Amino acid sequence: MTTEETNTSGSDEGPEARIVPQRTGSIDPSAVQLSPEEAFLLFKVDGVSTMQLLIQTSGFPLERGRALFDSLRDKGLVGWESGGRRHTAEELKPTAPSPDQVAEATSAEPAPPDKQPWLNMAFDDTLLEEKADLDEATRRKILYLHQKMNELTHYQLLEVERHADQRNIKRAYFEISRQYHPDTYFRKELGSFKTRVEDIFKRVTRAYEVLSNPEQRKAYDATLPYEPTPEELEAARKLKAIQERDERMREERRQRLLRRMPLSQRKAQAREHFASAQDYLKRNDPVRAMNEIQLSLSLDPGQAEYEKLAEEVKPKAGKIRAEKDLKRARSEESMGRSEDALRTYLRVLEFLPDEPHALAKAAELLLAAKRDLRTAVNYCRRAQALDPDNAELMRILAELYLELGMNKNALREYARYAEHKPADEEVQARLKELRRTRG
Amino acid sequence: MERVLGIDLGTTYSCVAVVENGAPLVIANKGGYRTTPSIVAFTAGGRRLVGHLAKRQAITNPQNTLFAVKRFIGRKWNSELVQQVKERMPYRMMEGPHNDIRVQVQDRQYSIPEISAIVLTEMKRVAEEFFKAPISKAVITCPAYFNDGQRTATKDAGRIAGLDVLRIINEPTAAALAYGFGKKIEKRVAVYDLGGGTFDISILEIGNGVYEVIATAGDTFLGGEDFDQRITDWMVFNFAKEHNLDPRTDPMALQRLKDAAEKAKCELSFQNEVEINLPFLFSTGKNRTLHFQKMLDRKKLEELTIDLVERTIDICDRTIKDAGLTPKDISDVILVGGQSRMPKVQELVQKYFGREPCKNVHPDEVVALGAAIQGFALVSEGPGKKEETLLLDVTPHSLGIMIVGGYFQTLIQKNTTVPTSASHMFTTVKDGQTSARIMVFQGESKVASENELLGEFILSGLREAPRGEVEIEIRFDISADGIVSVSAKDIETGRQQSIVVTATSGLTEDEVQRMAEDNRDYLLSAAQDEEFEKQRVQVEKIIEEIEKLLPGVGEVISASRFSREALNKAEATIQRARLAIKRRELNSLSDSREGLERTLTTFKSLAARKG
Ligand SMILES: Nc1ncnc2c1ncn2[C@@H]1O[C@H](COP(=O)(O)OP(=O)(O)OP(=O)(O)O)[C@@H](O)[C@H]1O
Ligand SMILES: [Mg+2]
Repeated sequence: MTTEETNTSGSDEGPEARIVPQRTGSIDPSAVQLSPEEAFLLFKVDGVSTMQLLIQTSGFPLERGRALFDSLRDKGLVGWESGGRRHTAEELKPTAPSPDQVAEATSAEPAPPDKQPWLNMAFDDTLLEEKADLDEATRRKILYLHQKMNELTHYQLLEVERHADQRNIKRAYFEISRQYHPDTYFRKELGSFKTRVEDIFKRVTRAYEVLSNPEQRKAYDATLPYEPTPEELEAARKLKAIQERDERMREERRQRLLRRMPLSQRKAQAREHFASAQDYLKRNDPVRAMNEIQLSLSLDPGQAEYEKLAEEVKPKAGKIRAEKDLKRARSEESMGRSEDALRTYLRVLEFLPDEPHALAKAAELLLAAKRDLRTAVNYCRRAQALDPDNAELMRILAELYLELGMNKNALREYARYAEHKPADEEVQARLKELRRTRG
Repeated sequence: MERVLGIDLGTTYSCVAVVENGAPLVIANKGGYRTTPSIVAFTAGGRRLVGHLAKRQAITNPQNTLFAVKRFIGRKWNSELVQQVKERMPYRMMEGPHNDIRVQVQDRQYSIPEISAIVLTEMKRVAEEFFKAPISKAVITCPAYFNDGQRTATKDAGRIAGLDVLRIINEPTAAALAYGFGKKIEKRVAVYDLGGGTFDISILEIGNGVYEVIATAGDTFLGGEDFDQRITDWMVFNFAKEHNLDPRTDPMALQRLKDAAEKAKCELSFQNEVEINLPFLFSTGKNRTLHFQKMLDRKKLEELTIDLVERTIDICDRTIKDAGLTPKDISDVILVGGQSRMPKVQELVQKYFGREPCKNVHPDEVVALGAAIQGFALVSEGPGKKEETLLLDVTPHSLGIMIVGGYFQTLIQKNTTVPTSASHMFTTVKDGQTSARIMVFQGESKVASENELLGEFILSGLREAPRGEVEIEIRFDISADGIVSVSAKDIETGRQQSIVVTATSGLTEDEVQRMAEDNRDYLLSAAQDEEFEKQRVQVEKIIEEIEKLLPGVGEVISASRFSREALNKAEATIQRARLAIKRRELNSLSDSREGLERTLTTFKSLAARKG
């Protein structure tokens, strides 16, 4: 244990009462030399239980348990924050549907929009002075909206959040109607503004019609750049926090090693790891080699030689690991741990982007989890390109489309599926229903 | 602020309301009734009777008593419905010059809007008498399911009555406006309106003074009158079974049967059985008079009419489904229309919606109240306007045109919020085609001719070119008033052409103007008649008094030659007055009244001298 950690303890309890060890994702445990005791402890780590609890339930004496955890940490397999903040299970399993999209959407904070841009815009003076029962601010606003209304999204027009619920959309529409419904200007002299006001009302009504119809709204949303829901934003925030924490833990570990060992000793040790990496490579074991290189790099960061080898080995190791992951995912799935399986399949696809089973399974599991549906469609299509006659893929794809509100596509895929599997009555029934609602 | 009348022009009853001091108020007629029968009658002397007066004399004057004309307003003579029903009406109906319907009364024909205008004139008068001030602006209601022709005809009726019709709004919508008035609510409600002649169902979204109609449907020929008809048929059947005679051949008997049917129906809403008793109903012509007497109970009535009630529920169901809703999504059900008082109706409505209907509105008055509220909101000004009621109404029927093969192409879907517009690209179908005929329809059938023809127009002056080359964009607009207008644009040249869709039935502008003038003339002459009558009564009274004094006065002044002349002069004045009465000359009658009054004063003092 490091001094800083013992120092944080203010009570009679040891720090292990507050420390919650986490498994890190960067090292593949199956390729690291572990003692049976270490392995036993490692697989108890669930990211929720405190170190104290883990040691107690493993039956090791406290001292022994601590030593084992330290060793696991040195091997880069677990980590923890010095404060020992406790995480809830939920936080650790964020259901962020599309991390990259979410990140993209949240990264660039737009400048706050000008609330009343029409006040400073230049308009045709003859319009501002035309004979009409309207004050200048109103004229400007009408001219502005009329000019912009076809560029603005339905959301901007109604001045609602992208994920606003039905109730708020309706309220917004009612509010705007009060301004632009022709009755507001009943029997008023409006001159050329009359048709503008009517046009705006029609445009706003159109926006409301689309947004208040779930199917139409889905289809419309698909034409807009992705924007995360508040829940997704929250999940992304949590994910980011976890990633930052992982990063902090890695950094801490590195600092600790640096502190514990003089530079020369570290460099020597790094070299040792590097040598064994090369050794493993010769024995055609890139996974173990990769682990060794990573240890070298954490002891002696920035070493060009190490980095070069890491670059070389990473894809090979990744591929082998991906193959193992594939098996693991299957067993996870068979045990009903579909969340884990999904994560593992996604990791497989990182290195084996055309793995047909992983593609199909990832799509299916995403569908079941109802998230990242567009990515799922993408996987499904890729899988179909490899296996065009796979009926199961057609069914998954159809259901994905249905979920996305793209009924026409869903209909097409179901029809293809039904050709392959005419006996599936459920699908036949759904097909009929879809055709009926399409009129 | 200027007062605006809200008039519920009902099939059987009409009602007028005004917003006064911020609150809508129903105005009772002179008899103290808050609704007035929509009945117009003409006396032998050509005088009009409206409302209760007309209703009271209906039995003795059936051919000249017009009721339920709303069932025919804006309809075409050759429509199946009209052909079926016209035989049952005791008054004479005939074809008008535009395939419209006219009624013959004595030696004159009237259009349907003219008859409705007489009712509207009466409602206007009721309000004006109450406020002792002229009121000319009005919002008039019509059934939600009325088509463009029926709405235009209703508006024409208003104009003939000398009203400035600000807007025609739907009856169920008006009911909802009254229901939500002054309340801060956010709710989705259904209005079930079963009146005398029509059934309507509307679903509205109410949010703090804004009323969005989301769906509306109905049947413009389903109402209390049909319930009455079933009972009448039942009575006729029983009478025929007993006597082997059809009592309907006698208009007076038919009117009595009809009245008795309605009375029995209304009573059965509150009690379990009624006795229908019509003594001396029908004369056989062989010195024998037949009676009708029979018990009718609620169960029998329900048996006779259950299919009508079920039809309304079917329409509700379709409407709710069309709106993508289920009955559970409705948080309040408002019952409107007198026929909704029937227990069976309430029972089935409650069963369908799974909730007890709202009891806080007066089914006979809400529609007029709502119309007044809308009128008030329209004319209100200033910052307060932002708080007023705003109605987002829809077009109840789909609008479209006939395309090749006689099919109907929808351009604007029913239940679309108005104002709205739609464009249709039209290309020539023949080489060298320079004109095209566009027929505009309203309705839901895929076959154009099964829908209501709104009008047609010819698009002319097209460039001569191979077929398909000339492209014309036709634009359809429905205004907040629900009025359809069409314009066409040549895509190539950008030339714009605005088109008037000439109504295929209904009145021409000239006719409306002329009828409005006739109405004014009648009112003027009726007012003069009234004045004349008043003067006549007074003059005759004076003459009577003078003649009583004559002998005595003669005695007093017999000595003087000069006075003899005065006596002769007095007699001449009486003669003149009698002549004015005979000739019905108001001016000379008032002149001679002044002379008579002077004479009377002189005579009185002379007579006093004698005594
Ligand atoms: N107690 C009652 N029970 C059953 N029916 C009744 C009762 N009272 C009135 N009615 C019927 O209601 C009808 C009149 O209703 P209402 O006055 O609402 O119709 P309306 O406004 O004249 O017609 P519409 O709205 O269809 O043009 C008549 O047919 C009348 O017989
Ligand atoms: Mg009514």
